[in-house]
Amino acid sequence: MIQKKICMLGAFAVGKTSLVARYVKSMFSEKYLTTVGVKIEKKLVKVDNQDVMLMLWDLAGEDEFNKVQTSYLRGSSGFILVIDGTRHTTLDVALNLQKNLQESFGKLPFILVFNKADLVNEWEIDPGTIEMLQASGNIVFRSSAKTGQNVEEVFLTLAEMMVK
Amino acid sequence: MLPSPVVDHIIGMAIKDRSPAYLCSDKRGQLIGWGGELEVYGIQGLKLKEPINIQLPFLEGLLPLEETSCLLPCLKFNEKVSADVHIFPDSNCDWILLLNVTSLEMEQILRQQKINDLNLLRQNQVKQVNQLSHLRNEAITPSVVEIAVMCLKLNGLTLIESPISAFSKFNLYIRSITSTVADEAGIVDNIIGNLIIAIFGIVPSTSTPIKNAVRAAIRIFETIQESSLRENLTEPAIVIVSDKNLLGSFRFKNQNYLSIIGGSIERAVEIQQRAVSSQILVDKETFEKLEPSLQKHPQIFKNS
Ligand SMILES: Nc1nc2c(ncn2[C@@H]2O[C@H](COP(=O)(O)OP(=O)(O)O)[C@@H](O)[C@H]2O)c(=O)[nH]1
Ligand SMILES: [Mg+2]
Repeated sequence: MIQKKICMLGAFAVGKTSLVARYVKSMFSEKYLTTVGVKIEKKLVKVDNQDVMLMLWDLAGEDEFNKVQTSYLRGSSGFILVIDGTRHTTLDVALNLQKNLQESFGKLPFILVFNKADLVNEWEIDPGTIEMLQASGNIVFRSSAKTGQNVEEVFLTLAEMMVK
Repeated sequence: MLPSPVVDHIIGMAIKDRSPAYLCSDKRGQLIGWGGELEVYGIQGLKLKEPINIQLPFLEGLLPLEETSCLLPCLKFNEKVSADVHIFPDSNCDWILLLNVTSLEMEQILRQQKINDLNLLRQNQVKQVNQLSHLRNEAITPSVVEIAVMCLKLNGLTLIESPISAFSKFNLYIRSITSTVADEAGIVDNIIGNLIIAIFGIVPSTSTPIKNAVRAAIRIFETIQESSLRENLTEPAIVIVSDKNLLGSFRFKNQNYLSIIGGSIERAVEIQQRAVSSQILVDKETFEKLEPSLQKHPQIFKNS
């Protein structure tokens, strides 16, 4: 069986832990509990009839004082960059991370996930910005860890990108 | 050289309560040895000469090490136990060392939770004030507030060849500046031509408006230096002025707008004419209130 390591990245409180919990345990909690360090979850998926074990590395969110430890990222096959649609600053954090990732790890598959789609009325990020990112070749999803919208799709799409 | 009792003591302290455990992998990634308190981390049923990354999936992609060692701080092994994982190479194998950090992690979680909660609260307040100043229909009660005004001038935009790229840079610039300002409890009050005006002291903060404004200014320079915005553009010139002002709202075209009256904004715009790229020019009275370390900051200058 193949194993693939995926890192969940993005600003704090965008929903990284929630997306993993929704995907792996079908759970969601409104309560916000900060992640420190890293927690690894596993999930078996099938890509082209082949078993792939996804190792999901849920990292602590980035803020002014805590930059993401690059040692955590070693050995990754792909990244999920999570953005909170209701907070514009989280897009800047994600795009900056993406730029740094490319400098250190070259072109690895990644997906931009605009989370909290259930709160779309409160979004600060406008559809135009998302379309622009899509038009420039990025793989983009709007998701909700709360309702489950697009959560499976995000992980499956990345799994397919990594295996090919 | 340290005497051996001292060395022993240091080692004793370093591993006290830290349940050291180790694993060893050959250069083909097969497990060739282990020991220490592995049961603390729930590691059991290991098989010699079998791939280590299958037995211990957190090592996926990491072994064999290429020269440099690697530290994975605070990796959770289960709900109860976290360890720092040190991986370092030897001549014909790689060592993996686990040290329990669960108690340290608990403290760190409490601290980080407070920081993140406060940051979220701050971002929410900024959002609310922004809504108040631009959209809302409610008037606000007038009051006297100590504020700091930052007037930032973006230079060099006209030097860019195409108007489209100039405006896309302008947009990027404004977004990046707005978020840094918000991080320091400021709001971007207005954008006039290539002048951006930000106000500190309206959103509650544990720090003073002046300190917040100066911190924001320094961070704006850092961000621009780090990011691709730097290309083709000279750095902005920043002016900071502070004073007591009147805060209130006025009605215009059927909407209420947040308003600051008292001369600080005008003064900031006026001093801006004397400001130079990549400098933070602070008016005299405000400069006297800065901490000595900031007065000596290489980018901060007194307007006299
Ligand atoms: N409404 C809504 N809230 C979410 C969603 N995803 C996460 N949250 C909430 O956002 C907060 C931060 O989530 P968390 O997963 O801990 O973020 P992390 O710091 O990126 O791991 C928590 O209070 C979650 O309940 C979502 O899709 N919709
Ligand atoms: Mg988390």
